[in-house]
Amino acid sequence: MVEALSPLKTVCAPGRYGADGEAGIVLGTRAIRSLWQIAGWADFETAAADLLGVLGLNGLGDYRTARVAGAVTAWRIAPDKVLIEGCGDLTGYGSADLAVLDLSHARTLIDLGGPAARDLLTQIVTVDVRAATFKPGAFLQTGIHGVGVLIHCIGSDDFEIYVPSTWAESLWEVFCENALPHGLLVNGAG
Amino acid sequence: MRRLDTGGRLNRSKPLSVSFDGKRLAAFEGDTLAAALLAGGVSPVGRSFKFHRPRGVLSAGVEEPNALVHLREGGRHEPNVPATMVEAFDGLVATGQNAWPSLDFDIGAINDLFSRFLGAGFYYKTFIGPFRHSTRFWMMCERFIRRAAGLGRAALVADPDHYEKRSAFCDVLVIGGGVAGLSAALPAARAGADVMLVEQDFALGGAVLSDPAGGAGDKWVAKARAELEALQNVRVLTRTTAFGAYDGGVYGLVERVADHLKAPDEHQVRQRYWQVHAKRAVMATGAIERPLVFGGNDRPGVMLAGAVRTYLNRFAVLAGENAVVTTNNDSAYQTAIDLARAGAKVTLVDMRENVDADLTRLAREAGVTLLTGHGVLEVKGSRRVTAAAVAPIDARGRAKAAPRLVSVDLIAMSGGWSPTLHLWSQLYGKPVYDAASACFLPTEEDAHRLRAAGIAAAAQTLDEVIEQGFARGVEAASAAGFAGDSGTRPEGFATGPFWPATMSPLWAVFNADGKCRGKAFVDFQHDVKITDIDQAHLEGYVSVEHLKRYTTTGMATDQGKLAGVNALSRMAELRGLPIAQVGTTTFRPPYTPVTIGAIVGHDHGRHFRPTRRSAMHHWHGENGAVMIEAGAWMRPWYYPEPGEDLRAAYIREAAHVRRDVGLVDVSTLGKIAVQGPDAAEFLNRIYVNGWKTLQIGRLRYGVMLREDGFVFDDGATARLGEHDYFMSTTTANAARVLAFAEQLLQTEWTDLRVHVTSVTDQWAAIAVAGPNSRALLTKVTGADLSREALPNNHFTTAEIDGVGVRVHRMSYSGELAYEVYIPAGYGRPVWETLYAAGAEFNLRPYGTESMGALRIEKGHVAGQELDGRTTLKDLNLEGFASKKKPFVGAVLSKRPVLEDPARPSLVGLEIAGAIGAKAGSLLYPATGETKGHGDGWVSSATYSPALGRNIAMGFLKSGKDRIGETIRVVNFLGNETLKAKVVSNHFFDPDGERQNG
Repeated sequence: MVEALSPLKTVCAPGRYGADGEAGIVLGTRAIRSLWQIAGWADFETAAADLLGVLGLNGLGDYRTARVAGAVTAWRIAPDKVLIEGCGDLTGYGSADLAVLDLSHARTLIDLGGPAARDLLTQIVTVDVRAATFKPGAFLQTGIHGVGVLIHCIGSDDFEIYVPSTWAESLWEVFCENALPHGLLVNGAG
Repeated sequence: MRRLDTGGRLNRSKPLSVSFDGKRLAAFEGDTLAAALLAGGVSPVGRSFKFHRPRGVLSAGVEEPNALVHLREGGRHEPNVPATMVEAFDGLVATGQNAWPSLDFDIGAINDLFSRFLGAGFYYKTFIGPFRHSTRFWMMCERFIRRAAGLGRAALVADPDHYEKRSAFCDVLVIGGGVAGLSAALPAARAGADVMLVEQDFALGGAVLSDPAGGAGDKWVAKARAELEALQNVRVLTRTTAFGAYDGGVYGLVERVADHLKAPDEHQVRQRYWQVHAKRAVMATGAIERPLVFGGNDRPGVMLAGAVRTYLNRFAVLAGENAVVTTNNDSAYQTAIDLARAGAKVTLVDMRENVDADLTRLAREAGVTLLTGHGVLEVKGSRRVTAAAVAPIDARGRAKAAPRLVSVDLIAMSGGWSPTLHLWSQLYGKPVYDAASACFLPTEEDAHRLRAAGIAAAAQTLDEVIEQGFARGVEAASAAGFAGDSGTRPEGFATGPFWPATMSPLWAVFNADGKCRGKAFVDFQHDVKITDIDQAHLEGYVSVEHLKRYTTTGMATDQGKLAGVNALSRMAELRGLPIAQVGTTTFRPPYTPVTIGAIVGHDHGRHFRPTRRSAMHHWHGENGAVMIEAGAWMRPWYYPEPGEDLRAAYIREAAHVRRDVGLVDVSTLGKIAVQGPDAAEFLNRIYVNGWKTLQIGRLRYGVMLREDGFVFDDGATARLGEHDYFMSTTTANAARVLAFAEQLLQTEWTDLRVHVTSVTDQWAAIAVAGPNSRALLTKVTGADLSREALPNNHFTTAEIDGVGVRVHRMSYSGELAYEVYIPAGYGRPVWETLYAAGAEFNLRPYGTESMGALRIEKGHVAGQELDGRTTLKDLNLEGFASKKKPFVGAVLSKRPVLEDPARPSLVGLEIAGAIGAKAGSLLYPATGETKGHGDGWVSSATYSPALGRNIAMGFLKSGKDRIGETIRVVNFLGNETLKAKVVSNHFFDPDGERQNG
């Protein structure tokens, strides 16, 4: 089987860019293991209970906090929708009460880190990303340059940003351009 | 004018090289350009807008109307920059503007001689008539008039600098870093609130910076600053102006990150635009001094008294050796005293009869000559003030006796102060006039989240300034949820007299007959004289809003900073009303000009909007494709071979598909997963045709309407499983269809258990078309793709290089064709596998232009036909509409006007001759006049390699009944008329033998 290509393959070139000194921004990417959306209706929680249990997740969660169980991470992106990474193939869980949808290729992940990571976020999103309000474990859905994204805070200054794959290259360039004043280190694929 | 050897807040160890109009000026770190101009004795520094009168520096702040200059050169050139706001830097280059050939000798000054003809609204009266074609004549004159009456010249080359935008959130935003602002920030920060303190100057201190350096005020500011800087919850932004206040506690700021440098450091930005969301805000913006109105008050050498003091104490510039200070309030006494102490000969002309005895004693002790009950009636001197005509005045400001001349080189004037309440007014409307302090003040309501403190609220003493600031800080923090310990209020320090409690409402000095001598200006920037206000009144203008626009008073960058109250005072006098009743205009953002660059940030050039790329995007570029924008996407337009242009390439590509096989990237098609037990019912409602019988493994073409009955979009939908459908839409309408579906499900059809999710990013898609397409795909997939196993409108799953794909049997080109859907990450590898395997089948890629040619040959409609104005009937698609079920748009599509048989309907056109038709051409009968909108229009046109002729599709009145008729195709833009035969739009293989074969 051939290897899947990241939309960032052409542009994610490891190296040091922008302002001198310590790199304020570190950018990279990693392959998304598997990404599925599960969706239901009024009885969503019941319909999803078995699947969530198998994945080690307890309940649907809230709309700002990611739920993590081992290699599985879940984000409740709407009252009746949960996005799950690292869950394997969920085809078999689809039913009249639970819609499952493979989105593994629909999103591309941009890793954002470095001491100026939050500063960079303030340049490209219009939501509150201060350390006191956007803490590790939290996530938010917002727009970058008009494109809907999901930002997961995984450390004090570390973020994983899920962007639609067809927009990924363009958004990567937006990240890089905004990162230059801080000094940019591109790590490449993780 | 001279630089003093000592004093000021300058770093004299860092001299700077500054030039103005080629003249080198001595400056130091800490200077402004205006200070350097004054110290260098430069006069005039500008020419006025309309009359080109020589002008000197008037102020020391953002309100400067005269010293507007061209700053920098090349791409960094910037016009209309107030020299008062330009921090001096080494290598600063500035030039005068609005003058030719030079500021010293300006031809445009001839306008001053004709000023009586250039009064208020002269353009409304002048630029009409008297000729028959006067409009054309005046349009011709416009460019000359604009050149004569204008300000700076913009650069025509690209700006090389970068700009940045940021969003910030805080609990308390304090606007203004003077004593009031610092007093507000301290308690809010101590209570634990997240505080942003912004100051437009590069230094904190506000009015303290105009006091002699090293005083108690400096120590007070340093202590407050040190405490704030030590707190983690405080952000202090200097060189930052809050220019706009908006609903929801949103404020627009612009930070001049590198304007004090010759150029930004590498990779750094020049300016940063901040959008701040604040729970509460304190407006500690101080006040702007008002000029007095008297004859020649615009002459170089006439300055605002506070500015004279600022130049003296902050920049060590003595603006005159022989000064008259004229005032209607106490604040100018400090200027007079400081000037006298610096060695100037000072005459203080106070318009008031009675002045505080302690103040007059202090002035006399400093050597100031005091004249109370007097005013400056007129300024003598043309290029610079040489004398002041001083006269005793009555309570209305009218001269009671003949004036006497006082030789001066400086007149410092103070007509009181106007609180800087622009931001408050932007949010809450018109302020109210406070007769006691003779200025407009903000009001206060419970709902107001922005509140004023200090001089901005007309505080009368320094203690009151600190008290107000502190109280506002405590109040704001508490309202934001931080009611903790705010500490104790800072102590005050000794300072000069304030204005509000002591001022007289006198604002102008007149002759005994009530008229000013010579030209007396109320708005320096627009050359608006007091006589212009009088004229507007005579012509019936009673509303301040109309007065402003008719006379241009307070417009442009002034925004009421200097001109407002004096103009209103005159209007009030003329109307016999108190100012409070006359009212004021509303302030609008921005408070000061904001560069377009700061607003745009990075969103320009290739980042004007994001670009969408398919998984195969880079393959196209690497293989010679010429790309074209298609909405947000970049798509391969055509793949030229050596020597080919667009026409040659697309004709070759289309012919190749009909003969062999081609592949085209169709990843841009909108793709929507429709899931849920009611998915079929959803499709039944949103499409005009029926879906309940569609079996798993099959797909169906569908058309959807808008609610108004016009066709919205079309596409094929496949049934993947019991509850899973895969809908495709046109590239252009993908987002709109998804949004429409979501809207219906969330608001209208809440009974349906259906989810719709975009999967456009999940799937790359390749159309393989042509007689050899089956053989090619059979080879690479190993699947049975025979007509029997996979008829048209069916799909199957297969593998290519181990990648699971879905093969849809459907055709857009009219050829035997398939669409291959691939998980996007494998899109390029699968494309490359197909391309390599296709060599033996003579496979070639083709682009959107040839794809369009093929679909026109087949007669398929696309975006050009689905333009939002056409109905099913217009498109000959009415047969698709089910009569057994309701669907979106069903009712309104039956409106009589849409059922009119004479409406233009879709036809094919065989164009006679070698020249093809142009889309947008109008259709007319073969004979008769070609007037009006004709009988229809051409929607799509191409050369058909299959037919060997030019063809087109279009909409023609009663089209179905005109098959066989010859009509004219008129392209008015190209002045071209062609003949065409009306035919069916199904030009090629109308029975579908090729696509179904």
